[in-house]
Amino acid sequence: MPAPRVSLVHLVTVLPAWMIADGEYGDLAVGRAAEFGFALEPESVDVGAFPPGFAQSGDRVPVTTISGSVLRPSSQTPTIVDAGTLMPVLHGAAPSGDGVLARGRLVVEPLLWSSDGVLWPLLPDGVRLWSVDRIREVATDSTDLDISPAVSEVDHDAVYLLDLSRP
Amino acid sequence: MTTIVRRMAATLLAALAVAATSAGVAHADPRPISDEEYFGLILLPRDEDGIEVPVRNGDQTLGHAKACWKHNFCSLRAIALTIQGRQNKQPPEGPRVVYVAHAVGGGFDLRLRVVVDTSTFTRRGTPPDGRPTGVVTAYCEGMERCPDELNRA
Repeated sequence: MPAPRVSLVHLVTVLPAWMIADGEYGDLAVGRAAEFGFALEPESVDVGAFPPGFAQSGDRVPVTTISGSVLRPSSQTPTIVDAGTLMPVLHGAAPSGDGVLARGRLVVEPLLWSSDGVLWPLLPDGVRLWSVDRIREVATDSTDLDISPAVSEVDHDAVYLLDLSRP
Repeated sequence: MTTIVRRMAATLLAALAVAATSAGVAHADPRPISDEEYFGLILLPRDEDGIEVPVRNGDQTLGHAKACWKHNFCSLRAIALTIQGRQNKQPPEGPRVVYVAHAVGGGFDLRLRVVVDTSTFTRRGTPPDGRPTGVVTAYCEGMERCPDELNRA
């Protein structure tokens, strides 16, 4: 019998400044675990049969590529992609096929993946516990933050990135 | 962007000055509310592109009730003017659009932000009226709660 395989997942996701200012992530801090569900803001979507997977490239705000099968629990929810280790919703795209390959910006999605919302009960794997390894503020240059970005100090012109990992 | 926002100041200031009283209506209530209340339409202002932006009653997680309860941003007039103002609309990020305005009045000098969702998906499903979700939240930059003066202006 083959030994069980454990793979470590690392990813970088965008936390929009308005979400910090809105107070949804007031307890976010490096080294602390937090539950996140994600959304992809796609710049391109190809429809077809693609194996589940995700990849990221680019060192500033990374471009994320996800592929996998499309899940449609109901007409009341946006398109969800089963990308294996991730299950993000697709913002602004509604492919008609059974599978997709989409590229774009991966963002934290607090509103749809809420505990009392329609998605989480249908697809509990869409939200998982992640370890916050780094919080970066990317404006004219990249600044690492080791504490929560305070509501009073949010730079609305900056992009906040979370480096996350999960065993 | 500061220049653009300051350009809005005069318009918003003038409008706030003529506002009769606080427009704060819906303070979040811990009781469960019906979908009818949740999706209830309070205002339907148009932005500079002529796009209708629903302001729904919502609850502690969305809409006017959230803005008022969480951020003390209760003034419907200020929400409407922030949406309607010229050059207040920021480039969309996915389905979310942020409108920014500068408000100056007696005792306050604020930058207002109204966050709008142009999709039809909410945690309770799609709005029965077929319109987009609309205002998700509204807050004053740099503070958790807006000053009361904003709602009395």
